Amino acid sequence: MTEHLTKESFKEKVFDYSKGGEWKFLGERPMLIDFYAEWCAPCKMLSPIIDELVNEYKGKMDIYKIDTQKEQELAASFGVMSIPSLLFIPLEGAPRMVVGGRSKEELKKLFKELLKVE
Amino acid sequence: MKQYDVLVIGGGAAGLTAAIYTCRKKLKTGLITIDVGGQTLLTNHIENYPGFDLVAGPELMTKIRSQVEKFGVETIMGEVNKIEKDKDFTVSLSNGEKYKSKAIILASGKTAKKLGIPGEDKFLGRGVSTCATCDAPFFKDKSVVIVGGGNSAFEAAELLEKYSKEVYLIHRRSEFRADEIVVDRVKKRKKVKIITPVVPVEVKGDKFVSGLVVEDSKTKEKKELKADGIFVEIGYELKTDWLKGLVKRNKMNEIVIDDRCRTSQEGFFAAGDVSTVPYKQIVVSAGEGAKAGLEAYKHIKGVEVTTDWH
Repeated sequence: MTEHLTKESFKEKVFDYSKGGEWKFLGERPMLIDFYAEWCAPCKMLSPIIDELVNEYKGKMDIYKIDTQKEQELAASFGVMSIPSLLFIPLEGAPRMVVGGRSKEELKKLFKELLKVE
Repeated sequence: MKQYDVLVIGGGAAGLTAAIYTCRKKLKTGLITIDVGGQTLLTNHIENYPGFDLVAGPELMTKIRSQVEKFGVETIMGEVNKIEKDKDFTVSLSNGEKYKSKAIILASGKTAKKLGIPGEDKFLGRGVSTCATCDAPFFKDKSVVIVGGGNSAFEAAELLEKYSKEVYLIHRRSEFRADEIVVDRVKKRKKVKIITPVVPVEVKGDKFVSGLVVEDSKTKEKKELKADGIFVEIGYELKTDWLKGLVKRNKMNEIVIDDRCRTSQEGFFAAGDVSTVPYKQIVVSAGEGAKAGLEAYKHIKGVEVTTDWH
């Protein structure tokens, strides 16, 4: 089961957006955040893949989920208007949002390209 | 290389039903798919599948999935990019895995069509959406445009009307492909405005979508509809170029089949939306899947399938 982020834990682990200003990543490892909702079928297809990747990439990167229904402020602050939306956060540089479901293999490729994680 | 009797490609209504039939005939069956449920997953409102007054797509497909799993199918998540025929078929996946089988049932369905206009890709996820059932709640009290004239476009209008401030449905013709019963229902909705015949020309916006430029098909006059969301519901296309040379296709890229789901390649069957079967419907696809499954059995065992009335 992948850990879910709330507004509070997001501010501790990812970025404290309430203070405004430039993006400052607080994580120790590269990160993937899956924005989803219960009603969304493509999100449901993606969910088990994300759960598998959490185990496979343990220690190399952190993977979290955000329920856009429960955390509407978080979703809005990232301008999420389509789900699933996947936020790739590298250790250095700006995060990148990728919209729509992906296969496990495509995600692994994106980890390598965007997060330099293999 | 792992060997199967049958490899079913595609996990929608046709593929899952084919696998139910081949598994029940004790054929070792592998189901290679990128999702389980196919296009049906994207509809929340099915009223024409026998036995159900009203059922959501994901619910129906979950039932079919658990049924096929009970019969012992082996599901392989992945995308097929090559099939070669020697004595048996060798199926290659984009991740490098390879499998062998005596028969193939292709049920890979269709792929959602894009508008192909400036701004569409740039604003995907920034107002442009291809999944109304996923994204409708993000457009609460906003203005949206739905592009399309089929059942999925009208279903999207019904759904978005519950959330959005105003809903435009635009279509390039003045007639609709959608079922009359659905069209009538949508026409009664106060917040929905139907504009025809117009074609979308450009998605406008800065950081997010701000509007859609449309052109009147008759007068060629252009105007911009102010909107925060654009829902693309213009149907599907077939991506079958990778099968060139292996099986015969028609002008629309559909795999040509006879009335028993047989293609131009022996041992290679096709079922559902990917084939030339008329009417792309869930119930039709399920039926075609059953036929393809039984034909694959006949091909492998070299016997007719016996039924209890002859």
